[in-house]
Parts: sequence; C-alpha cells; structure tokens
Amino acid sequence: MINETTLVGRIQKGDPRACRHFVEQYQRLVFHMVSRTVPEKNDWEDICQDVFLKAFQHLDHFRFESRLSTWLARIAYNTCINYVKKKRPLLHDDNPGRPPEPADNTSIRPDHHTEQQDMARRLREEILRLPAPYRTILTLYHLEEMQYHEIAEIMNLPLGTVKNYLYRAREKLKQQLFMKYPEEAL
Amino acid sequence: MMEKHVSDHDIQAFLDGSAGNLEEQIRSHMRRCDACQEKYRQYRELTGMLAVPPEMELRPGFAEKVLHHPDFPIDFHPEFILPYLFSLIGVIAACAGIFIYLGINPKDYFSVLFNLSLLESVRDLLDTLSPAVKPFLHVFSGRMDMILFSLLALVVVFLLDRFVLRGLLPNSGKPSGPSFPVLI
Repeated sequence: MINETTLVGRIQKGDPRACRHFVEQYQRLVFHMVSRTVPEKNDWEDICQDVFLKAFQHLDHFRFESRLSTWLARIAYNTCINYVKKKRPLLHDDNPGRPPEPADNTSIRPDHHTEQQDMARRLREEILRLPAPYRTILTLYHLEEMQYHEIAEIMNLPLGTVKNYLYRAREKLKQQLFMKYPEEAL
Repeated sequence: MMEKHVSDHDIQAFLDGSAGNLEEQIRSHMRRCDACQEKYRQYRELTGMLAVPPEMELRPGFAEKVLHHPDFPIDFHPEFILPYLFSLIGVIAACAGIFIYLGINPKDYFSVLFNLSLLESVRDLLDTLSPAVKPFLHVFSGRMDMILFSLLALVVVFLLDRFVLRGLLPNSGKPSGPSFPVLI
C-alpha cells in the first residue's frame, strides 16, 4: 500500500491516478459515516462527493499530525453535522419522537425477510433514533475500528465524553432493541 | 467480593477489554449471576450487529464522478497526461507507417470513412475567400504521407527526449521532490 506522504505529494502534483486512489481508498469510510449520520439516503452520494471535494481543496492544510483517514473523517463528520443541523436543527441534540425513515426494503413482505435482514433493519431504525454524535461514534468504533483518541480528535470531543457517549448509545440501543424485541424474536 | 450486579458501564468495558483491574471480578461475578450473564450476552450480540457494514455501498465510478466534478480543485499536471496522449499519437503514426511501407494510399481507405467531397467544398470555399491560403493548401494536397511522417518524427523526438536525453543531463529527467513508485 502506498504511504500517505507519497500519496498526498502525488495528488498535489496533479497526478490523476493518485487522486483516484485517494477516493477509492477512503470512500468506504466516508460512506459509512454519511450513511449512519444522515438519515436522507437520497443525499448520501452528494454528501460523500462534497466531503471529497473539500478534502482535495484543503489538502494543503494537512500537516501529517494525524492519519489521513482521521483528517478525512473529521471533514466527513463536520459536513454531516452541518447538513443535519441545516435540515433539522433539533436532530443534532436529540431526536426523541421522530419516527425513523422507512427502511430500504419495506415494500418487501415481512415473511420474505431473512431473520438476519430483519434484525439489521430493526437495528437501523433504532440507530436512527439516536442523536447524530452517538451514531457517528458507533460507526467509527464498531465499523471503522478506530481508537477512542482518534474518535475524540475527529469529533473534537474529550476522550471521556467519547467513551461516555459510546456506552450510553449502546445502552440505549440494548434497551430499545431487547425490550421491543424479546430474545426469542431476535 | 461484589455484592451488587455489574453495571452496564462495567459490562461494556469488560466487553471492550478496557475494564482493567475489574476484569477478573466481573468475570467471577458473571459465573454466578444469570442476570449479568444475560446482560453481557445482549451486549455481545449488539456489538456483533453493529460491526456489520451496511448492505449499500457507493456505486462504481464514484471516484470518476468526484474527479470530473466542476468544482474539483486540482489541475492535472500535463506531465501525467502527456504520456497517454503521445501513446495515442504513436499508435496512429505506427499505423500510418505500415500504410506507407505497404504502398497503400491512406486516402483510399479514409475516403470510405469520410466524405472527401465535403473537404473539397471547404477547400474551394477557402480558395475563393482568400488567395493567401492557396499555397498552404497546395502543400498539403496529396501529401498525406508527409504529414504522417512528420507525426512519427514528432513521436520519436518526444520519446528520445523523455527516455534518453533527459537522463543524460544532470538534475533533469525527474520531477522535483521525491520519486514516486507506481501507484496501483
């Protein structure tokens, strides 16, 4: 795998292959963050594109003090949060009564679902009820396997707060998920 | 000895491997306590589910979309584009060379593809518009082979410059800054 200094250098020299490599290497991370933080799935691709355009625009400011993925994730987080605030100002703080958006496959009859798909759908619905920062922390910790200090840097939060939010998010999910759907249903 | 149940916080820390000194206490308590064991099982199941990536992904070609966006801020350096352009010219020149070597007039073949009478009309039009273009047109009429040879010579010069001459000169032939390995 190409190292970050080389990659950034080549991008700054205007090498199209390096630019493409950068997008392809990190598009999964950005997509995970966007799709978990922003409920409107029609906007996901545009937001991801916006994140990468901002990254290319500000690449000169990258000082190699953190990993490139951490730096990019911070841009993705800020972009998502700004979007969510613009769309629904209350969503950033909390989202107590808002029903989740219908899942992708709601038109399919429930008896056609596999058990696993059903569980994933329920989890998605419950995650959407959580505040946006909780959703981001869950994504970065569980999907991207980032460390607490990296998440703290991305979200500009104290390390203790990150840990606390993660625990609270999981506790909330556990309560909602396992109370609503008892063990045998899961 | 722990009398109370293990808190949600501690069970999560145990699950993440960050319970520290409490780890052994929590483990021994859970061996005796069904309620805490059940809580631990639920958390384990939940974290397993959270680690499953979403089924949807960005569609293929996303990177191209970003690179061709009107607001894309980086100008691609000609150094990275010219080799592709010159490769194309090289292929065309090679084809032309084969045509000439075999004594085939490319015009006979191109006339199948292009309507040359249209070119003749344009030439007549230019002819009437300005007598100054006459000598220019005269040079090119019936001299397709010359044009193709010129192109071929251009390619040879470029290749010589890029791969031979630059290497002979000190501090040239390489872009400034570190040298870069092939990316993908």
